[in-house]
Amino acid sequence: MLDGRNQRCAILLDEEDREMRKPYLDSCLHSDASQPTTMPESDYDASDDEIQDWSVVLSLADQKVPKRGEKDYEPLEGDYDSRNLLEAQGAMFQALEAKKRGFTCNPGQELRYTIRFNRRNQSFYILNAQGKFLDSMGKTDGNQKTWFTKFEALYLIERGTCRITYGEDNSYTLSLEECYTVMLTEDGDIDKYNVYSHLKRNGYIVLEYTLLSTEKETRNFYKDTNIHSVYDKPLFRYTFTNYSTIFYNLQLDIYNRDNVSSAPISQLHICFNVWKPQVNFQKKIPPLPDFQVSVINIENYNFPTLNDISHLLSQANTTLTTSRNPVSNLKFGNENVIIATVDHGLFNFIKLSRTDFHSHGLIWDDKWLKRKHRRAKNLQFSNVYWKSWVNSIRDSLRLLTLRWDSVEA
Amino acid sequence: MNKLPISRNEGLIFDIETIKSLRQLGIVGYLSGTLPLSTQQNNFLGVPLRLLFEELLYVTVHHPEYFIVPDDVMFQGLYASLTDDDLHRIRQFAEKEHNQRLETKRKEFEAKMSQLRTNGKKIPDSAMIYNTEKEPVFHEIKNTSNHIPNIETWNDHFDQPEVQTKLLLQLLQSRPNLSHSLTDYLIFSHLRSNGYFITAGLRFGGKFVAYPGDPLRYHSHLIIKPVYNGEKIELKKLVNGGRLATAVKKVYVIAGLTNKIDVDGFGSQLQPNPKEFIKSLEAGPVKTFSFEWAGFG
Repeated sequence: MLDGRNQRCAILLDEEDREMRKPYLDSCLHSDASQPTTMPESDYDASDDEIQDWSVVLSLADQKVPKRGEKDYEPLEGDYDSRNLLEAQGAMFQALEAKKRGFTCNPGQELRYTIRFNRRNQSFYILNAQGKFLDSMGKTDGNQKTWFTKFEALYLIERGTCRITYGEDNSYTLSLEECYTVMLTEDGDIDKYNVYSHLKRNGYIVLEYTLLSTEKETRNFYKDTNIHSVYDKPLFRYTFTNYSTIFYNLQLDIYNRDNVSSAPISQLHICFNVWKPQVNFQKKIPPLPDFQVSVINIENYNFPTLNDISHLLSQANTTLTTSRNPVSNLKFGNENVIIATVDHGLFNFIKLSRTDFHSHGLIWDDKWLKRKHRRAKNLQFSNVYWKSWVNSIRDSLRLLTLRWDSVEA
Repeated sequence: MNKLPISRNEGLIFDIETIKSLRQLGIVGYLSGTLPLSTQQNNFLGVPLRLLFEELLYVTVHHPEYFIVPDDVMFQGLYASLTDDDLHRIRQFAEKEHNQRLETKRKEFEAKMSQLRTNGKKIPDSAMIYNTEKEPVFHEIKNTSNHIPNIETWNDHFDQPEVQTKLLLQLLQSRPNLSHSLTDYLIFSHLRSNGYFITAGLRFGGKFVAYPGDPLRYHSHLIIKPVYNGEKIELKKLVNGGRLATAVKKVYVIAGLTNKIDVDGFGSQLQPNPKEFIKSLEAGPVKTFSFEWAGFG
């Protein structure tokens, strides 16, 4: 009797659980359409030290009710702990084995999902490929062959969407173990692949880095061809009436100076162009990427040197989101690159951007001036407006006004 | 299966049984692949399990029943040596699996149909026959290649003491800085022998993160930062680590060896028996210091 009641309680609680987890489950189930709501880095923050409750994901497979689990500070004596641990491990291993990797298709159609692999030149293609994944992956040529990069191919296999076969009659499908060893042939490939698949699983569109043909936008808004310094300007010939003009005349053209030297050579390079998920993505003529990612293994590299950074940024070309807030524009800069630091499968994303103070122009805003200006407009002093305006500024700026005459004297 | 596949000096475990048995030894690794159960998320990942270099070394040194297999070399040899007969056997194996799958499907189908009939639905006899010709086929991509007929002989070939010694030496030589790697390893092994579970430490900016038990159930306690021989410890780093660790409710630990490891002497000492040599290094003491941000606020 008691048992029965308890059970009912447990079921009720568990149903509540499922309700609470619904958004998460939904996001898991909607495979391709899933929109990443957060940037990968924030994702990582969240999972930093949270418990991995594998029974959640397990509940997707069979309709077993998910159990809630919590992490403890340290092991306790007794069965309670070891039982919980066994349960957690059991859920994990069950989830690992719950579903076989692979795809189902009608007989005769399997060649559309079979990647042909040439080991000598490491090329991958599918003949007459079909599938939604083609929207953002692969390059189709005139002979109905769709070519993939090794990361794309391996990702498709790992997802269970495609396969690679051995032998001419396609009788033997390569295992995942073989695919990893046969396809990731260079040092560091595994790190790049881990980053690639992480981004893909999050729903981003990822293509191998190419310098897109779109010309790098001219971002030097104040492009002065003459490199000059403040000393070249005969400052004292001007009459300054507000701070803005003073600051404007004091500006140095740092950006252009930096551009004069050619981009240095470095071992680091950008690996991937990344776009936020979008519907009508044209992989042949892609727009400028939203992010560009360079993968660095923390064992082999330190923080990139100035040379490395300049090199990476000279290759970078991403869409700029200009905001109304000048400070946030400064923060994101005109060129930026994301560095993925990898430590045995774990990674952190870091955004490096060149803060370009000059191209932003003057950040100083004479707010008091604007206010007066507006008030003057409202009152419509059309005749005396100009003179009274100048006078009022002169008065308030008396101390800062530099006049040629006074210097002369 | 006690096979530890390495590919380009990275330990990647694809066999779930091996992952289980390693877990029993306190070797956690990091699952890095897409989970077939739910392919569009990053919270739960599947095979392969990526091992740290230290984990790989620890298992091979302390648990002789495990052996390294260089997958990249093995599969090259394996493919080159496949005969028509082998291919035929592989094909037979695949067909057998396929037929088994069809058989279970057919049984399910028939059970369902007869259930419907007993419930009183009128179903013509022609609809009762399960048509295997048109049925969609499931193509499986297996995790491991354990089903290839010759794989056992290849594994046995690598599971020889001499071959293992050679492979271990190769693995050690692939490290960019061997003395640093060995220091890391000795710290790892020291913590492991004290019952800690250890994972890579990137999340908290250390070399390792140590857990009092299985990371599935417990929060981590320690952020480990190795100090190599002769290295000075900047006081600013102490403040840095101490503040960070205290903020995330952990303890920042610096660890180092009291005996200096002589890199140049390695060649001759490692050569005959690297396992014994590493074990002898483990006898040397490891010193650890923890520090905490004592705010006095």
